[in-house]
Amino acid sequence: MAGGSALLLAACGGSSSTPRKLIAGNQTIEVRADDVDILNGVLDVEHTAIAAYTAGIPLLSGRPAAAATRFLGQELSHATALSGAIKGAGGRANPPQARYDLGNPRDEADVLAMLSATEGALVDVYLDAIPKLTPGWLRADMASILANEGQHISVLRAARGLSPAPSAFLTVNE
Amino acid sequence: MADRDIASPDAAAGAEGSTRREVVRTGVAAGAAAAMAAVLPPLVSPTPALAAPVGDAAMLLFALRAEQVMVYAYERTLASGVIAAPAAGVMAQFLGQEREHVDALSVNLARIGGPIPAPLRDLATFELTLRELGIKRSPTELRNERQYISFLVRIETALAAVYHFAIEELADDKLIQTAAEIMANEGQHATVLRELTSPGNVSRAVPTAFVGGSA
Repeated sequence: MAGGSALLLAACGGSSSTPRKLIAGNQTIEVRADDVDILNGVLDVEHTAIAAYTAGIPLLSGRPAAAATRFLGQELSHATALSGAIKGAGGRANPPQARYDLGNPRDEADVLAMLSATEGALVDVYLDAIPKLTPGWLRADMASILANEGQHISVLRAARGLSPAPSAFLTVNE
Repeated sequence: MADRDIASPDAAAGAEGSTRREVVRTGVAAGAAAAMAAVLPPLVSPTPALAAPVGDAAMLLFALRAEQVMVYAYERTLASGVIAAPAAGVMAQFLGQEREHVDALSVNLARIGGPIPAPLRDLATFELTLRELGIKRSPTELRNERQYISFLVRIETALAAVYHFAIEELADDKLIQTAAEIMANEGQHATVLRELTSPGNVSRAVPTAFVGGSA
């Protein structure tokens, strides 16, 4: 994962209204402290998704297990990318919580429903965050992740016997 | 995508993404100019400079023309006579969703005073716009269902790249959100189409953690 590897902190702003100047390659990019707060809010939900997949995979088998294992790896990549962007902007990435209340899934159907709900929460937080972020490149990269969450939703829905892409616009309700 | 991106899964994908990004940027400029020239008097037809901000109208216009390509591709595929029942049902659903994207973009483009291009109806214009999207293959070369699906995935992937670029460039919050919702839907289409040719192969259906033109 390339992460925010090209991001180097050039100067720090002190308040939420002061942009933090980042040098990325030969381009100057502004990431505000407000953006860091937004990214941390997204990261919190990614941590929840990682916990959900980690807890749910042992209750799955066959294709759903293979899919969930792959998706766990992709959620970890998202969390790594988000943490890199936050740190690159001079912020502190929120750590995972010690415990998550994931309900009490008992079988494959319960787990798939839990994972679908978690993915829905991710869609919610990304759709809310994307228009609020200041740098265009950061909005675009968050949309890249959102689209991947949409793909997860499609596979999870198909595993539950549902239409994999029921709406022309990915929304929270899927 | 350039080196500033956080979303490049590896160097190769990053290089590909960078190329796609340039294809899209060039296409937006050329496509917008061509489309505007078709609907506006030449003297007031702007030619966006590559280094300048694209602008919401030009960006929406290019996305709309890309969506028209997608609609035409699904229509042509469904009319080919080589698509079997399960895939045909999926494609018919996705065609409907692409038409919804066209409608949404048209409404938004009209709202900000942009020109609405006529629906795409001929193969020559289809192939020309395909090339603007960086796709050189002609649909006349396609012979079977697998080839058609691969072709559709290619266009869906190019569309995701268009929206990735659009979300970076657009200024209007509502347009950004709509573009993100559509981009995610195009990603879903690519996944479901890949599943048709490789059932149960999740690494093929969802190849990377970041969708932006290469997934």
